[in-house]
Amino acid sequence: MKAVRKVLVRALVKEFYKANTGFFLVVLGLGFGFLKTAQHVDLTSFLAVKPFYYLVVLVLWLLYTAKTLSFVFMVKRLPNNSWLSYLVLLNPLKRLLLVLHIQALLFLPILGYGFFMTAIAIQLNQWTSAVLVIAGNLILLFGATNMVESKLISPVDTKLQIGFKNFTNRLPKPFPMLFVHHLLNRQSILLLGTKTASLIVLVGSIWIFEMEGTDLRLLNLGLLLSAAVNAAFCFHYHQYQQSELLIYRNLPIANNLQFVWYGLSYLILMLPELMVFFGNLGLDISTLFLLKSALLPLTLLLFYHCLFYLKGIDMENFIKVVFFATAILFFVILGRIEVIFISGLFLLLSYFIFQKRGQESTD
Amino acid sequence: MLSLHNFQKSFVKQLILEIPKLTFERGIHWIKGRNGSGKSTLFNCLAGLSPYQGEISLGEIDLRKSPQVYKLKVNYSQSEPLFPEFLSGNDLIKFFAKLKKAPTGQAELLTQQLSVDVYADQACGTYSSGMTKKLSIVMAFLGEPEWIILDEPLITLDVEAQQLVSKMIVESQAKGVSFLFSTHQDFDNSLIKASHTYKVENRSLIPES
Repeated sequence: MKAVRKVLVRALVKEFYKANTGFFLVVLGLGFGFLKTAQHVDLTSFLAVKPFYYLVVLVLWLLYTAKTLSFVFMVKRLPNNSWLSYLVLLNPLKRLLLVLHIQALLFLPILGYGFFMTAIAIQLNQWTSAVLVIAGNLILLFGATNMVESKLISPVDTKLQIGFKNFTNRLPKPFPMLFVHHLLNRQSILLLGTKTASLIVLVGSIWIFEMEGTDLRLLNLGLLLSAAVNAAFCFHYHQYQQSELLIYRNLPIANNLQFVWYGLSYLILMLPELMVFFGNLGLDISTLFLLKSALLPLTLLLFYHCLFYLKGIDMENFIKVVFFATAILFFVILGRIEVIFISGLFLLLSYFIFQKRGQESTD
Repeated sequence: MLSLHNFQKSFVKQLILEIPKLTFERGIHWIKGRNGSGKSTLFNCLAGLSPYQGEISLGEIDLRKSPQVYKLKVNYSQSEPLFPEFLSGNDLIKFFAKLKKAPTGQAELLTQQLSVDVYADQACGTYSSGMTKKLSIVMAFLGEPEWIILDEPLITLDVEAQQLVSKMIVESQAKGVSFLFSTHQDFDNSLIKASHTYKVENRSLIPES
């Protein structure tokens, strides 16, 4: 059993946390960067007293559960993971316990926070709230375990299920759209989760701006954080280039045209944010300011994309760059530096890297 | 002629291939080698898919300095091709035909020759490995290449398709196209009649004849 557990931890748990490093970094950055421990205690104390609002937390946990399930299902579908079906040979009870263990490891972030919420509720003698949190966590854990166990041992068709995705397949398919199609077809939960998180950050910044009313920097900060959330796509784009788009490297395409194509890809990916941004602010703020601000996430994403053309950039280094770039730019924007200069700088850097390394390709 | 000069390929710090100097003259070149010997790695570099150290050139055209011109003249079919699964074979063929500047009617002729036209409207994600391989070979013949690199062109193909591909190679060679192809199994050279054979061994490419 120990050997099976070790392999599953490597194939599912470690890969999940590796694939979602960016997501966790952003969540930790937002959750523990802006809110201090005392504020977390205040928040959970409020929830313990008003357990109805646990529904909000439960929705977030449900989204997280969907994220873990989507990852496991995606892993199971890959042809090189067909061996997972051999788990059917294990004793059913042992298998269930093993999957429970794996699922609990995937659930660590919500179990940890759930434990914290339970402790606060007990401290405040809010036993109903404590039971609700524990029950919510357990239902999600056991429900997800059941689904994962059943998925792992079932045969799976690795081929594309065209019928299911008919609508998205009707969208045009020029090169800049290929990655978007890939996300729609194969990484829809990642797309949905990232867009939800990014829009929450952006809408939050717009609300704060509308309450405060004058400080335009708040909007740029929202766009900056939104770009950080979307940076996860750059890593997936890089992986996609290394697999299904690899043969495109044999095509005689001019560097400048490729650069424009990648820029367009990110423009398409950022359309929801840009629509929310312009839709909410178009009547109140000058179009020139909005246009200048909208360039910031686009040029940042293009820069993050180009980072992968540099030697020695792996996921870990990439996350560090995104984290530090976001942290530094946060203060640069607060320091009232014109956002167009920042965008211009990152556009130039991206173009320079792409011209130097774009045709070199990477392994 | 296709030349390598001071060519080196490493993954992280592990040297995979080292070819100080080698020139492939016009003709059909058969590269043999065991699994993992570095055949596909060499082909990926020659096709401009993977980075390398040293120089790769087609006559006076250096791959690094003039990638567009080089890639217009050197086509490639991978050993185990992967394509965007929601694109149809026709989508891909049209895209590659345009960029590789294929003459009018060439794509249709090639798809008919290999019977790819039967399924070219379906999404690539629904193809079997043999169907994907045939699509990849059609794409490698598009345009007016001087060289076509075929990595394991016959694997996953049925006997009929193998004979068709062999025939396409021989016919194209008669029109002046040169080929580099690899196999790790022995195959009947009387089909393709490779003029030069090489073996990838001990991180190097050794001519056999």
